[in-house]
Amino acid sequence: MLFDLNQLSEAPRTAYDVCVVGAGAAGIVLALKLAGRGKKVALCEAGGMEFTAESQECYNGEVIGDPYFDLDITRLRYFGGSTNHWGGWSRPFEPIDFDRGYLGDQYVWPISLDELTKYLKEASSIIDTDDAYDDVLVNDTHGVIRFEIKTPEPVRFGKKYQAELENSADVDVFLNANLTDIAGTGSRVTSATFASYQDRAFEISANTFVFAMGGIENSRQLLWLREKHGTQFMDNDLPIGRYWMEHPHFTLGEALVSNPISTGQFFALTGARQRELNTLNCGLRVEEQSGGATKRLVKDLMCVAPTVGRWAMELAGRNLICGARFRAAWEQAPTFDNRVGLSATKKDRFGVPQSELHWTISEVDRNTARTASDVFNQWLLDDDLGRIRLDEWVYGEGEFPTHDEIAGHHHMGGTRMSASKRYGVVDANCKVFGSDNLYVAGSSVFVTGGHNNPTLPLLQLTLRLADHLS
Amino acid sequence: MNRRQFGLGVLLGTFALKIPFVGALIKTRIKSGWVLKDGDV
Repeated sequence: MLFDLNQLSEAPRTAYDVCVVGAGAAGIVLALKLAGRGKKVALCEAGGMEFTAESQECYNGEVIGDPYFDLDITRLRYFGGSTNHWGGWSRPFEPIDFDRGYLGDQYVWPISLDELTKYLKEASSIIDTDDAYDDVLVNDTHGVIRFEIKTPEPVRFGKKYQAELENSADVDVFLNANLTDIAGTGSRVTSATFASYQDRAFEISANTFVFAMGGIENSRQLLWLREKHGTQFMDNDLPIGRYWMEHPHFTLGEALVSNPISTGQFFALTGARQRELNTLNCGLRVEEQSGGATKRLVKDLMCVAPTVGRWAMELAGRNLICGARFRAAWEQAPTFDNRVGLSATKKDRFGVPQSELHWTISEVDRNTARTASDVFNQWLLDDDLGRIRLDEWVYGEGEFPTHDEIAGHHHMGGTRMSASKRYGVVDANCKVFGSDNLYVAGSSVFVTGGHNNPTLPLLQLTLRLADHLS
Repeated sequence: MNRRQFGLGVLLGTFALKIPFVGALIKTRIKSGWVLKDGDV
């Protein structure tokens, strides 16, 4: 059933097995999975069926640190959430992403990758793709792989699952339901209060509550509830909002590459090579440039290094080499200081402090791209597959470019899962430390981000959570 | 410190880590941004 709080005077059913807050990828899938196991579910979405300014402006906030997207641009606040503008690219975590303990406890997942892999097939089917990835070791000496990213037509979760939700006897969807508070007994949440845009308040009771509001909003709401309720529903000193991560996306330079490095392919270091070099995961790509880039780059190379320049010119004359952009998207190191915080001065229309995102790209992050680039270069030089011209900031110490892609709109961390309250906010089952029945779903529970797009792994985690709550 | 030598040593605060030299197989140098090997120039 579908209800619009803007049109209601009272909620039709007052008690549920599970109340899921947030109807994005995680929330929708969780609600349907639980309903399929006979649970009565309330799925509460802060926006309506379509974009509205009054909902979206609740995402206003401030970015402090390095240049980043405006917080009301980088995500969407209506039914389907940010799947309404995502690109559909998908790839699961890799074994090395779950084997970073040698870097420190803040890198340790409390579960094994196998715990997610068993949900890969089902998660892949949700986003209309398959679960077979054609990864190839292209150079054993340097430890370089060519890897596959699935690029299906992006699934708009709101559109795909609207009818199924509307027709479900076990899910009640509440639109325009803005979380304003929770209440309970001891550390058990028994009800949540939601406000409509007409400022009417509705209370929903449930045995279990799941926050699935997104990679920034989960932190904001938990921080706010901690301000209001202290440690009633969560342990003291949890690092809420901390260890927030993105995937830096930058052009590292330009390249002249010959046919074996076909443009559009993705490359990375093997897990063993990453471990050997103490570096994180980084995806590299060469993208063919049009508009005379090949000629320009050959001319430039000829001036700098005539011998290899003549080689490049000869190949270009036979159309065997092309000019390309050399791009990277990589894993950001989880650091305590990258965090979601609460504004001290600005609140949304429901009285919840706006988000402050403190985000900085560190020298560690620069070195992740630099190291991967170095190894990739070694392979190209070894096999004479091309030459790369790096931008000065990559090999020097200059500022990161401000006019580039910058990041992937991939909001991760903030409510990470951990075996330790020092490094995480939720336990291995995604339950908030210190709470009896408050859970978190979505990429905010990621311990590390890998270098791949987060939607597929967050769906795997959601399916796992559904099993736990069933 | 060589730019290839620190990797996550920065994060770990262990600059003395003996991280393998990435360019151990081919000696490279950067000229006007181009990553080159012996014989290229």
